[in-house]
Amino acid sequence: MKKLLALVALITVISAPAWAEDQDPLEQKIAKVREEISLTNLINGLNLTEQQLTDLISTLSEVQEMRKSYREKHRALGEEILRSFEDLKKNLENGPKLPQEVEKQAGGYNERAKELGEEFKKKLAPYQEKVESVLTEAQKLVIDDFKPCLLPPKSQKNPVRVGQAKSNEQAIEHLRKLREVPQDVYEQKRENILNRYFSKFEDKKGKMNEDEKAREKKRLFDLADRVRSMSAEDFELNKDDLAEEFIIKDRAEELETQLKDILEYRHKDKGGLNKIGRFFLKPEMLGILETRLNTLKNFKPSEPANLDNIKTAPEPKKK
Amino acid sequence: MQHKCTDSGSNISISRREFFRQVSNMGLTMASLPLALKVFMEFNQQVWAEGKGAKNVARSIEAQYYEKLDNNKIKCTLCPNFHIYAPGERSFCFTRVNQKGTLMSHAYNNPCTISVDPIEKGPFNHFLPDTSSLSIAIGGCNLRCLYCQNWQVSMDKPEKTARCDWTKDDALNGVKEKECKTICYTYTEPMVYPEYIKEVSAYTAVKGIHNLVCTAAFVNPQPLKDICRNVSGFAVTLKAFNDKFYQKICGQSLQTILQSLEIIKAEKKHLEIINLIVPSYNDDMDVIRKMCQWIKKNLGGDTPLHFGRFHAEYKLKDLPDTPVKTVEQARQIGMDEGLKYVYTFNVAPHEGNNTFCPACKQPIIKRLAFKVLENNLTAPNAFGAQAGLPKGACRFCGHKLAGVWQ
Repeated sequence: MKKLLALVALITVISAPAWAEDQDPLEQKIAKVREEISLTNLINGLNLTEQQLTDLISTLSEVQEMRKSYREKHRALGEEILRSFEDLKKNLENGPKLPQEVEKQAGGYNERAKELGEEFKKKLAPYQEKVESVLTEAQKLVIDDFKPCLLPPKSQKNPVRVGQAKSNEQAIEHLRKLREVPQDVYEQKRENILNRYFSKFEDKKGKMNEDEKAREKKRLFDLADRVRSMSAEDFELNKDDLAEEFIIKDRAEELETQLKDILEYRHKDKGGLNKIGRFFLKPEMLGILETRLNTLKNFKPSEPANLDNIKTAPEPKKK
Repeated sequence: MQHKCTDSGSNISISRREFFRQVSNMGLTMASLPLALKVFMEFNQQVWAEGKGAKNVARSIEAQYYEKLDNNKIKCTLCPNFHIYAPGERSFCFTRVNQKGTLMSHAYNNPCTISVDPIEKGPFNHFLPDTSSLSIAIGGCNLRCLYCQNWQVSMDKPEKTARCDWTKDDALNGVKEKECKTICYTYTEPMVYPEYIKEVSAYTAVKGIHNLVCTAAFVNPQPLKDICRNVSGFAVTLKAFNDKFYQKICGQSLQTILQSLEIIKAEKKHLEIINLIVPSYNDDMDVIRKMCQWIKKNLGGDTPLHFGRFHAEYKLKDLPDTPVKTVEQARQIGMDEGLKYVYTFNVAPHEGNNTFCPACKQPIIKRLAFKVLENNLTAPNAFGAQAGLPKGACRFCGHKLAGVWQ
């Protein structure tokens, strides 16, 4: 039975690319563009020099070549796997008992596919090192902090923010509003105010379980009471720390990050990629870097404006 | 004789005498409206002038740097505008009001911003790197830059933007509580509240706190010299090396700023200069070159210069962000002209965030925007002292770097 379960799992894993082909081509296209946008946002935030771009393009071109040859190898193997799995499926339709030969063949292909994947990963590792050697320490920190995003952050207060890296500005605004609520209203609607905050968080990140909710609620109620009782001076002086406390930490996200770190470390010797490798060794990255290099090479300084004829925007409204 | 007025079908009869009496009353009322408004405004100003914040702290003080004229008018001598104000009038910079012939500063003990920032945000790259600074700002400004990045607070009255009461004692306690080494007057234009800066800096400087000012330096020599007394350093925004730019985009003149820079230098205060590059308005590389030459000749090649990237703000919303390449070109020009420390600002990560040793060219302080990642300056009583190197020297070659390092 164990063997059977392993086989079913194997089929699920290996057949994934097969059903991926059934995906709507438009959806695939959208996903690809989305990926490219996210990587472009990352590159926009790194300020790579022409030299860095040239070096990276050269490295990624080698990776591209290697990927091509592996894809061909994988395609040949894939056809054999398909034949073997069709055979396996036919046998399974007649019941769970399998001829030894069929079982052995499917298992063998699984091993070969795995080996091929690991071999490819191992060959990628030196390229990851090459990419790392091109980047500065500061750029590596930005990559480490980067979260894939579609729209770059609007706030320009922090020049290092790329992707969806966190910012305290909104939380400080929430806290200011919380302080402004009159005491009688606050006493009546304390729960409502925070529940609204919770539901917004849940809309964005997904439902919290009851334990989590209770724990976070208690923490936030205590914080809200504390923030309201502070003098204006104390609040202003400590607003950044308070904002940090105010933001609900996404447990799932935290665990995911921890898990990624553990797996990254565990698979280091097996050619597992870190964040730099995962972003830079994506097939879409080469084209993005080439476009960037072209833009830099074709840079033209702006035309001088006529200072006697300045077009100004109307006075913006204050918040 | 009776005049008949018809109002919604009802007949109202009034006598001629009554009619004229009512008309003249109405006229008198209308005529006295402006006077009443003026009295009300003056009363309001008076209330504010004597007004105190939540902590019962005075939020206004008699201003310095003004002359009394006839008819209770006054002439403000704080900045080169030398504006004359009639009683009840508010100054161009929003902070001062002529209160019956006495100029009152309303920018006193009432900041709109208090925050703890890395000192590098000033930007101060050569002043106690990797320490925290207590930033203070009060609403108001005497420039009208079309691309002001903090217009919400700089283009408004202090009493309207004030968030809290903050006396010199609060400043000192805040610095201690947040373990800051410096107080930095920033975000808006500190030169429009010299009374507050002088009071806080005099009080805290004797207790070992450095006071720093981030300013556009549009101020007269005397107030600037007075501010210098207890202030350790300045980050001055030299917006362009072009008088027309100053007049059209900022509403002031370049000459005053250059004069202020020379005064700060003569007063032997630490000085860093910022030039925010606005695409198509002040990105002419020939002009930038002239600016760098002027800085080297008049302020010295050791003066740190930061080239900043413009982000569309306020009334110049239609302009694009400054291309990074433009900022890089300006930085290269600065270095070519012999300035030893040329930085990029608002562009990070970037090589221009780092401090390089002018002698051995090694990166001495590596930064990511305002964050120090690595510091290769000799620390007092540590490696440097043991090796017999001076404080603030390059760890690789021993070259002494310009700046305040402890």
